[in-house]
Amino acid sequence: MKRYLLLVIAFLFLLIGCASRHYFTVEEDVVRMCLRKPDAKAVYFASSLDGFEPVMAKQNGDEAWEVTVPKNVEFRYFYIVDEVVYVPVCAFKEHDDFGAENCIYVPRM
Amino acid sequence: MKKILTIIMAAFLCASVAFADEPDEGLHKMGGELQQHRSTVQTRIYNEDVQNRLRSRFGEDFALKAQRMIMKAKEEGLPVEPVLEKAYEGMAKGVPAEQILQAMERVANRYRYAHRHAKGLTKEAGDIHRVRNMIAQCLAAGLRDEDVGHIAYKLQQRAQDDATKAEATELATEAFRAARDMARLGATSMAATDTVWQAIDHRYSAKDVKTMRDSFVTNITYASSATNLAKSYANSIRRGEGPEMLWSSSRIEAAGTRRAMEMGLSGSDGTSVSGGGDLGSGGNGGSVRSRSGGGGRGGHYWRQRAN
Repeated sequence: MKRYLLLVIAFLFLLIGCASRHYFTVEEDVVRMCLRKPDAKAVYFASSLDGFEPVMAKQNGDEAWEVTVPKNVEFRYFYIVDEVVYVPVCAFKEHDDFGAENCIYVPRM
Repeated sequence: MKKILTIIMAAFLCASVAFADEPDEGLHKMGGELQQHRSTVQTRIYNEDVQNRLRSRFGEDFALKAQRMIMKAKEEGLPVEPVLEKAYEGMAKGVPAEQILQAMERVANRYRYAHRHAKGLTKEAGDIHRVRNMIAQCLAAGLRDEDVGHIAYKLQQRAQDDATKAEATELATEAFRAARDMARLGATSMAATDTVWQAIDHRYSAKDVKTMRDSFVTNITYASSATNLAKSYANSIRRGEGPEMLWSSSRIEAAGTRRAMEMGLSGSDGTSVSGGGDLGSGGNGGSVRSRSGGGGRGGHYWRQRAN
């Protein structure tokens, strides 16, 4: 039974490790939007900041894909991961009028 | 053993959800070498030829229909950018042309509806635009048309009592902003509307509504859901709490609800549990409503609206 327990714990660790994770870090003038998708071949970031022109994200050392955006502006966004639209888990959301949702970045004033 | 396994699995699953999308501000101390790998998004002004972009992607027919829609919005004094932006968003998402046109029409309709209500709430052009945009964002966040109408109706009632027009406009802006943020955070249209409606009914000022919104946004992390938190806030306001006390009052209510559940009380008789919170509103507002009387404050907004 103990071995079974260890196997379950190991599986859960693996599950969490592989799971995609979305986060952002606030810097002086910009916000760094990061999406952890180690297996992705190409990740684009599309936002209302520039008319949803997809911008290619760059991989950083944390196996995350990142872009930087202006800090004090509210905007809607989503990712395109390997040519598939991907809306991460995020606090603020709204309907996108296409049957899905968009994330909203709300600056902390 | 099975129990232990279940607990571990539950803990892990909860953890994976809890960690999602947490702003990891500690990471901004990462080394300078990462800086050079960044790609940067610059805010772009809409200066390119819209027609060309749409035509090259979907053909002449689509471009003409889209252009007609945009011109119509412009003629009506509605903002063109949100309609255009929807087209771009659809293109980025690879949505078929017909669906993009429908979505553009929905956006224009939202602003049309919002403009109508905003004009009833304020007279200055700049203020109308500000309130209109806020209402349109409420609708995009999930507020239903009729709920927006209820808030607008209550604001109009309140405007008759407010000292100045500026005060009334400020309250309208903050009220819709609060409803928008609650909906964006996942509260149902009815819960968000009831909370804002109660705030207006209980004479919250624009500043009070802002405090309420800030408190909601800050404490959503600790609540079981945005809808439950909105219901708790509505109940607290109904009880006469000020905006600074909403969160602590909601916590007390949730604790009381839990205790009542543990003791096997249903709360459905409206006497022992004050309704709302984690139990749901139960539709009667509990003992508070019976204290306040049918015609006064304390009921749900849709009931008072009917009176």
